[in-house]
Amino acid sequence: MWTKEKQAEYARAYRAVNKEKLATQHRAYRAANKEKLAAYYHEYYAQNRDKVILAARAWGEANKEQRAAATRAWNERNKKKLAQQRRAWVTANPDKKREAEKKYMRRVRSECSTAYLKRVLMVNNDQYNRLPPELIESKRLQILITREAKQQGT
Amino acid sequence: MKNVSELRDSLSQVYAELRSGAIKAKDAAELANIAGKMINSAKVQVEYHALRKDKPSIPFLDAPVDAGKK
Repeated sequence: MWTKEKQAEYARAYRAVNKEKLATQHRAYRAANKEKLAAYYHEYYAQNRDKVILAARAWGEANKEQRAAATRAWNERNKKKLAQQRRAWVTANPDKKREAEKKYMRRVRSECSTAYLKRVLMVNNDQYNRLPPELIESKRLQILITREAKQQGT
Repeated sequence: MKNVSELRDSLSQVYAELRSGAIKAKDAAELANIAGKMINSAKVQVEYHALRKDKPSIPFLDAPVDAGKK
């Protein structure tokens, strides 16, 4: 007897055997019906916005590495666009930019991070890489001692 | 203090002593000040040789990592 389970099993087996053929067909269909599909997705998104966002979020949480890779690839493809957006935002929000910079510097200063040490030592990346790690560690300790001494009231 | 490893160990000791109160803040600040001078002069030396594109041996920096450890 032809049951639902049997049908599903048959379909799975068919898909497994004809994976490439089906993928080619799918790609061809998508290429031929690009606008139609885009319109359909837009309409679906407009009607089911919350559902789509939740599903995308859940997928991202379940596939963190894949999502990170996709984000990296997208950022790489849209480098110019992102730079343009960033420039436009900075031009439109100079105060926010200054505030963000201040916040960043406060953080790196309190953590005595690599970025802060580069600034204190007045070196760029190449120069920083030339310095031996013991020297950088010494600089970090020197800063920490100076801070602690100041705090204790010299 | 013959090399950068010894300097690092010494600074680490000073930092610990300062926090525990075994050393005065003023003395620690002076030591840190001197260490800063040494670090900056070593940095300038590294940069000088990098600009000249030569790779000399700087005894203060070339010491093995555990040279300063007792």
